[in-house]
Amino acid sequence: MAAQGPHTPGYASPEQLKNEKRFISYKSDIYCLGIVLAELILGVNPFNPSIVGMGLSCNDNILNNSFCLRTPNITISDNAQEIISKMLRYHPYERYRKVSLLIKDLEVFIYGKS
Amino acid sequence: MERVKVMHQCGHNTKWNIISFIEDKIGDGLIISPADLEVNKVNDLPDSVKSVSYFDPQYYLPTSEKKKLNSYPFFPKTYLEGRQYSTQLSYKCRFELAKECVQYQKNNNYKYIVIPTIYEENFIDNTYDELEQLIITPFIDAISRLQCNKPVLLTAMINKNQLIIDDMNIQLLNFLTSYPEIDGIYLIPIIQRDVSQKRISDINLLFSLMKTINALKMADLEVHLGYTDVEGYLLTIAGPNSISIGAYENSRRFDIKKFGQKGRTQQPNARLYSNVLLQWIDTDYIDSLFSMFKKANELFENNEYLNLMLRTSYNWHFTKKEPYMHYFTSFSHQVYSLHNTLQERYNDIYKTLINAKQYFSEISESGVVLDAPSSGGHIDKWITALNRYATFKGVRINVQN
Amino acid sequence: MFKTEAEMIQLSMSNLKKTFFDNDETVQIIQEVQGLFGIPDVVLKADIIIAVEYKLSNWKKALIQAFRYKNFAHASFVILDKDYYHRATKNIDSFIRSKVGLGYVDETGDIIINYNPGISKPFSSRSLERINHIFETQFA
Repeated sequence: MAAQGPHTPGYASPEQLKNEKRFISYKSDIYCLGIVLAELILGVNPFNPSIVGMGLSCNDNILNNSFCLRTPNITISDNAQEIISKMLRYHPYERYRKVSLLIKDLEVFIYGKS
Repeated sequence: MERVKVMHQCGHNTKWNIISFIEDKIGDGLIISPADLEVNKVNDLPDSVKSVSYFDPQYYLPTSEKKKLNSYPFFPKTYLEGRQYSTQLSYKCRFELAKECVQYQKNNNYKYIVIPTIYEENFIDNTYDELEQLIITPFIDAISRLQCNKPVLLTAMINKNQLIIDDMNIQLLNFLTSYPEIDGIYLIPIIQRDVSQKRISDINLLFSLMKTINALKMADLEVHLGYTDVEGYLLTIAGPNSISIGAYENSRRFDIKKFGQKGRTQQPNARLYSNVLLQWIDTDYIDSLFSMFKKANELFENNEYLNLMLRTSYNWHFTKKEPYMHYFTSFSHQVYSLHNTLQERYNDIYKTLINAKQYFSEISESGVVLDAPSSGGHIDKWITALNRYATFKGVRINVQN
Repeated sequence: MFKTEAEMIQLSMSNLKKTFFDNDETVQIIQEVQGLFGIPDVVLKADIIIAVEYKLSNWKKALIQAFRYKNFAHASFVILDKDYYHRATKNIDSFIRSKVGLGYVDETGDIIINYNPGISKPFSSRSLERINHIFETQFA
């Protein structure tokens, strides 16, 4: 496996795990925030093998872009899933380009307006 | 989807673009080219024109000796007085240069502030870092310092490898979407072609370009295509905010030679744009078409310029303005007639392509033999590229009979 | 049969007047005429203008070029190497549709025309004027 940059296991973006320094940016933080947000709702890391299946580690699931936004007891709403999924896109270019755009989507989700 | 705007890519005869925009009311604005218009002439443009136009600083070849480019005090060669425009310069110097360029754009109240780029034949790993250090960071700093409240476009040139090689495409997209300070990309495709190939016929390339435009739009960036030709019509399926129209071919296809020393180039034949065929037809075929093909009068939009050109006394020459004025009008009408939902726009473009194919077939049956640069060899490829993109986007596609 | 186009043209040159104008001595010939739509290998002028495009084998390219010459010529012909002529005859319909003549050069340099489209008015009066002017200048 290629050298990994500094990271917190299970909460790092793919580019951090692959140590692609050029692409480690605020978007990596958005990715991490997405993991935390999902975990707050589900009670478990969305990359955790216990919900993803396949028997790989969290980090491997991150590198394979395999996550799950439901547990046997909890389901995240479609709207919330859309937001979190966008935060957890594999490639940085596919995630929220600006924090303000994430805030806007969250405001619409929470308050029904921006 | 929004209506696609049409911007005049100003070139050697900028006055034609200005006449078309102001008098014929064609297009949504100008992309000003300092290589073709000296600074005092740009300053004379009416505010009503500048406020809907933007200025391309054209740092493509920072050592260019073109007189008009160097009339701008913020052009690198002028500003640096012999020093090389590189990351070896102090940050203060790079910033001050950027500040002059931004201040100029702000003073002229253009619709956007444009961050330039330099032309790179081959992108290597540290090219992105160099661009960031040399141009992007100083310009973003300058824009912030000068409190410009205009949206910002980042100029990006994109070559074939960056489109079709996945890793390079991902690298490019990650780079272009990594600046929250910008609002859009002024995207210039650099597609090398054989001299005889007027149209881009590489299906994979066209599809990749459509996907790239789409990826940038999905990242909430405006996309303004520059130096586009008829391909712009096809590319509207990907939803760019604007495409460009230009007079001479070097404003419809980017060529770095334009910014270098003027070499002797072969004079091209005059061509006339056919909106029906989606092709520029060598005007030497006009007489044979009208002689042998019964529906010849349907091939070209019947606007005021066509009537003038079809008079027997008209002397076709590539330096005459009428073919280009005709094209500006004809092509813009064609683009403006597109619907603004993905499915409907697909239907519009598909129908136009099938129609073009049918007309080319009928022309061939009439006995007129068009050469490669005037023919429809690209049409089937465009249909395939269109369908490929439509499938990618989940649009219901049509199948040719 | 021929190694090069130039060889084919040279061998058949003396037969051009015989083939197209019954050996009329007033016929004027210019090779590789510039300043027109395309560069015809040979243009002959008497009371009418005839253009000729030679090719060893590439009949498609020859047809494209020969068709251009109809802008100024009353008749335009494609002449191929006899060995490759059969490739073009399979597509004779294209020549008939475009009214471009078709023939070949044999080993003795004779030119055999198998399809003669007849004479028709050149498409462009301006181009006809130009070729006439070229001949006047050349043979003044």
